[in-house]
Amino acid sequence: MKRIVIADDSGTARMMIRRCLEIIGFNEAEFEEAKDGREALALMKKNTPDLLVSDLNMPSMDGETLLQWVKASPKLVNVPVLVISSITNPAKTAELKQKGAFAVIGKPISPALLNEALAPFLTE
Amino acid sequence: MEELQQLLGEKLSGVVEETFENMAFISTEEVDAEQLPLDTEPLRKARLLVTAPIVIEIHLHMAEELLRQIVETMYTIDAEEITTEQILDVLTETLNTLGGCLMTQLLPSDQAFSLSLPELVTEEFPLADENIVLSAYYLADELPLKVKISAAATEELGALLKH
Repeated sequence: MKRIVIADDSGTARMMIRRCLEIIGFNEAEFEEAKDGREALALMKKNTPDLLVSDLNMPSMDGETLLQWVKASPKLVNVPVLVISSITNPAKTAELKQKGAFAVIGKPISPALLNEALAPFLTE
Repeated sequence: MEELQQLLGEKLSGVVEETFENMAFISTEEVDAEQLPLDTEPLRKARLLVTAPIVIEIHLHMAEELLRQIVETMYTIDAEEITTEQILDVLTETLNTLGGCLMTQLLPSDQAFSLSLPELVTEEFPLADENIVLSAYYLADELPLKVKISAAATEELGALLKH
């Protein structure tokens, strides 16, 4: 069973991400939700997930800082990070991928968008 | 100023339509201010700042009944189970998504931008603010929503919008 951490300050966004993931095949995954980067990092340190899905614009610790922490941690460096945010354009996407993001997609999300972004991950 | 309003207005209509369709499966129709129903429930209001590369303030006002309908659809829950927290979260998340989509449409693809966290407000938008670039009115399921955008109408704004 896959473990997936979803970090977003909006409960609605977390619910939508979870629904979309369930639709594209993660219906048996174990989901953990965090309201910001700090909470997500604490969850990940406790139990390494198979996937982190993170927003960028969050209070306390934003998604970009979270991504940097994850990629700097020997324990978490191999966790794929999918960034879902309203602040995405080609320039930002390239920057985030350079920092270690597995894929970057813009809001509003859909199962099709997530499926496309996670296709390599789904085949594992 | 009129040219900026037209540029913004064209992009905004598409972004509003796409955001509501994708998030809540709701169609929106742009209308004149006079066509908005006057006797609906109070509007819930939120604002968001674009903080870079230029400062723009975006306000989203939505009828509470419309927000309730969206919560019911998105969360697939009964009307009596809906909480105020869910209503306000849908409002701020919609504004966040709308603001991001609008900036992605407006700016060149190599131009990064930053948004503040959306915040709830209670005050009305000033009616005669010289910085208001655009006011747009929509109906979604016969219920009103308004988007107002303000920014200093500088050459910098004009250059970015006309890229």
